[in-house]
Amino acid sequence: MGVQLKHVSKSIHGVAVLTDVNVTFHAGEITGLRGINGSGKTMIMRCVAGLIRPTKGEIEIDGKVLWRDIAFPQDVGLLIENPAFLPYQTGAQNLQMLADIKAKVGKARVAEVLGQVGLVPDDKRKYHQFSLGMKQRLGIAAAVMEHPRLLILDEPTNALDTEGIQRLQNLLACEKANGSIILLSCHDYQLLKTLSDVICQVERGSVVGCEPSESAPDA
Amino acid sequence: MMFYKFLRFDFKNGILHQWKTFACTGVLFFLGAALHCLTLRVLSITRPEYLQTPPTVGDYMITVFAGVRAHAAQEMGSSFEMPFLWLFYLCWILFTVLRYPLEELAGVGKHLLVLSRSRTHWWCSKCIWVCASTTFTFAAALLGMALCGVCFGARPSLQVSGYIPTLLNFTSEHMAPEPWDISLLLLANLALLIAAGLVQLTLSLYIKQLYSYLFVVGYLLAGTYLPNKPLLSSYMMGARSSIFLQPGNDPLVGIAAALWLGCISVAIGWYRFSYYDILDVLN
Repeated sequence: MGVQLKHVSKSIHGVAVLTDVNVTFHAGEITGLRGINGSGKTMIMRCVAGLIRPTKGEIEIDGKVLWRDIAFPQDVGLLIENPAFLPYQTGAQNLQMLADIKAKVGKARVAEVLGQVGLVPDDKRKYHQFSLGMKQRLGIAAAVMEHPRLLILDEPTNALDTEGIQRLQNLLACEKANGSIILLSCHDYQLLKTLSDVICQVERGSVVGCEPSESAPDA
Repeated sequence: MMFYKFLRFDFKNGILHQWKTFACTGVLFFLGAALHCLTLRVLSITRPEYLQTPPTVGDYMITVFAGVRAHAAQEMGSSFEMPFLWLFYLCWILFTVLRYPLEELAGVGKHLLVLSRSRTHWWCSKCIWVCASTTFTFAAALLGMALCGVCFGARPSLQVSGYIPTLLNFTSEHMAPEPWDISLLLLANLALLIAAGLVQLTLSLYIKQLYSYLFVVGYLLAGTYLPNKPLLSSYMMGARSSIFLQPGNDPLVGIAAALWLGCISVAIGWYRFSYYDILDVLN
């Protein structure tokens, strides 16, 4: 079981952003997407999250085809580009609002995950008063809060300090042990290699190859 | 249950937290109605015979909702009068419902959508938000005008005084008999504003938000110059309404047209949103 992209192509306003993408992301594995800016990493993630519809091809998630059998992945945690929350609420209130949608986790888990990313659960500061690093930590907390089956993290290390990266690594290890399918992108290649089990190279909207991170080239 | 959560979120985030917009609307229309008060002061000196009975709240409101009578371009010497106050009211209310839905989608709404796994819920919730927000803004505008009227001694009635058509330059040989009660006209305005807001929301899924706004305002503005029936703004103007003129535009027809337009917009938007690409860039 996992996520399988079969001949996925996507054009936006006549411009091809993905071309014949064929790749499989396995459960219990962290897949790192590597590529230069505009290569299509975020678009692959958006496609898998159900935010954009492929022009051609199909995406199968745990045996169900996206846009045909399901509108969105059944159980997904998401951090795509910049975290976005309600500016007039605290971190805990923002997470609680998201948790209320599925009512799968309660206040205790919200407090726990805030602690796991290094934020203080009782912090009274509003989101708009957060630093960039704190916003990023909150975005990571929101993505992993419900222990999703599919975890999509686009540039989660942006604005994170060394301690934040260590916490992220611990969280990823935990989610991986739970059998999640984890997709990750990061502009720091060495860090991506450290965090991932498999590295997939994305070039001009296509996945040109995937290999275990230990055998991936150093640069 | 999920839909209720969407609605609750939009009510809290898109209405309760937008109270400043409603307050601002009330103040703006209070000031707009105050202009009418100045006119009355001048009138009490120059034409005291007009003001034999105290003005009503309806008098204050009709200064905004009068619009302009049908322009006869073919008539020699006939010049087009731009209804600035009416245009401002339209532009303001449509602007207040322009940005929230797609800005929310580019932000936290994306998470809500993915977690809820239902595009239909998101779309229906935003349509209801447009209806609710337009109603609240419209109510705030009416409240501002009514307060202004009451402050300056107007009677709390929606019946319009006899001097108003002359004052606002829409008097005709074929005036409807008094009393002129504008409650139906107000209802037609609200219904057509909601429909226009829904058209704007649907259009913003196809073109840039600003263009959808300009398109809708342009369409409604065209109705001030061209008195064609498909230009529904004719039904929003007191100066063309059957309340004052015979024959005139029946507000009930305007309400029915608004209902039809609103339903069509919701259906087209729902279809479009079911395969709409959600990118962080606002179109």
